[in-house]
Amino acid sequence: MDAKHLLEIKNLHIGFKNDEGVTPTIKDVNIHIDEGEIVTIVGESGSGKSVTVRSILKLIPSPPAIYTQGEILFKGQNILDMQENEIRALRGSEISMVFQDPMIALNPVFTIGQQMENIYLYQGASSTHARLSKKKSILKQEARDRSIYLLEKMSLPNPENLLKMYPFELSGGMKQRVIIAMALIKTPKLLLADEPGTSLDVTVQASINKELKRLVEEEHIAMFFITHNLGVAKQLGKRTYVMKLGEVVEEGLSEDVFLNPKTDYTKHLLDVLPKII
Amino acid sequence: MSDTIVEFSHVCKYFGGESSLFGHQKKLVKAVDDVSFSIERGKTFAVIGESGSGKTTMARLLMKFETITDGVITVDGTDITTITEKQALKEFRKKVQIVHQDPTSSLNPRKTLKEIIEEPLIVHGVGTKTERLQRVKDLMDVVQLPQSFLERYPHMLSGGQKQRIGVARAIALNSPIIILDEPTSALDVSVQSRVIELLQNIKNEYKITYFFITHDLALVKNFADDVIIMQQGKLVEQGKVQQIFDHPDKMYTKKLLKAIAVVNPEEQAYLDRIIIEEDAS
Repeated sequence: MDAKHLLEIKNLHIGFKNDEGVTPTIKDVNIHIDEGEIVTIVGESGSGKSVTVRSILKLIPSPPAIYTQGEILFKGQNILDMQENEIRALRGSEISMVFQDPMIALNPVFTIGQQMENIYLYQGASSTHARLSKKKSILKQEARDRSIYLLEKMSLPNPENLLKMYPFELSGGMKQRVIIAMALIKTPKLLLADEPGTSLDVTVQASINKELKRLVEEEHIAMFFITHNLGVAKQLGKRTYVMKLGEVVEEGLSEDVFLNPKTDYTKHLLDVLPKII
Repeated sequence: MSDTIVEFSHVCKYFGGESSLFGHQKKLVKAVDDVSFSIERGKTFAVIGESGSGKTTMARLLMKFETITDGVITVDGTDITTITEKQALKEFRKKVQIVHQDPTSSLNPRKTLKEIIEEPLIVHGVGTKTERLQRVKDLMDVVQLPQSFLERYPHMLSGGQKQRIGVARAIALNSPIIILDEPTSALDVSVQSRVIELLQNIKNEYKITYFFITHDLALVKNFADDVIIMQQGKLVEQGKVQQIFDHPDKMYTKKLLKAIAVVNPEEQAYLDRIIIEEDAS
């Protein structure tokens, strides 16, 4: 088999159980990503882009979701066959995720510093009493240094002070920057970004995307970037998958997909885009 | 000849500032700060700004949902800031209607589409029952939805269809001014283009003036005639859309233009010619 892909989704089928039986939602999706690569997935709402990406971490509750067919290979291992504790070990440390809405992704009763430290210390462990690899005080210092480094990289002013703050003290853009830093604290191999800027203002979105791209490139982290904005998809990803109604309708280098689209659907999406000249 | 339908002159709206229960001074927020502009009849007037820039407050002032702190707003030659009498206010409300941002939360889930569209007609006492029903049916044709939908409820429709109902309700009273508060931001691009096309057709047919609130500059380029750019309650720049795109003057406008994510290389080149001087504020 192909061992060179970091993650490979093969013939994935996902259905959702309801009263009338099983609704097929993801139909025969084949997607792959290599180490350090940025790949964008575009599609309209209901195209299955979020379900596909969330299935990588098994974040879709099953039931109602049923993985009817296919496999998700991460470093050659099938995630769908893993036990819950094995997946826990992957989440956050090997594969990390940034969600769309920054307002609900942070815990309101802990400071930013506490939340980042907790991830650094305990992510992947089965309980908070798990044995730590080093002395706690050393790990805490490491967590702090790494947090400050990442927050600085995300262009947040005065990170030391920020660690002492609570989520409600931050603006939406700051929160999303913090969440990105948090997702990268364990230097994962793969980052799943599900429309991270959509709920924010356009200028903030543009700068966050730029910082995110620079940071994952610097740290050599592979990233799946989900968006419905074709312009953003083209700017960020080297390769692009276009999804429609649970299927991948077009894939290829972003330049090719957007400048010489082959399928009618992609052409249609590009046609309806408001043009500025 | 210019025919002004709406005029804002030195409009201010402040929130807070008064003393609280325990005597602390509440923080004064200048939501709209000394803003002046005029809107020509039959044009689409776009208001661009990020969250907190005061664009929705301006829409609420225009509808007289908020009392003005200072300045004058005239609609069709009448100073609306002086309207106090209930009947006059009701008459005025007929002139300005709104299409809300989120079609799901702006339609009453317990009412059928017929009841939703008919409601403004009932409130303003328009026509008899049969006349109103005919009007509702006509409106369904205008927004290109089948009349068989009239007995359905909002949850049975898609987002685009719901927004069409929102449009039908807004134009039901033949209001000369329609406020569009980010009407397509909750919709997919392909649905967005159809809703915008519909709005464009309606405007041409009924000579409506749109007060179009958005943060999508690319959409403004395609849809609007004039534009103002707002930042933190202040008017940053105003002019014809083409002129703003070709010769943005202010730093903030340039930043907004630069933030448009485009696909075509020609469009990218068009944006790349805008240079942001890092030192200027």
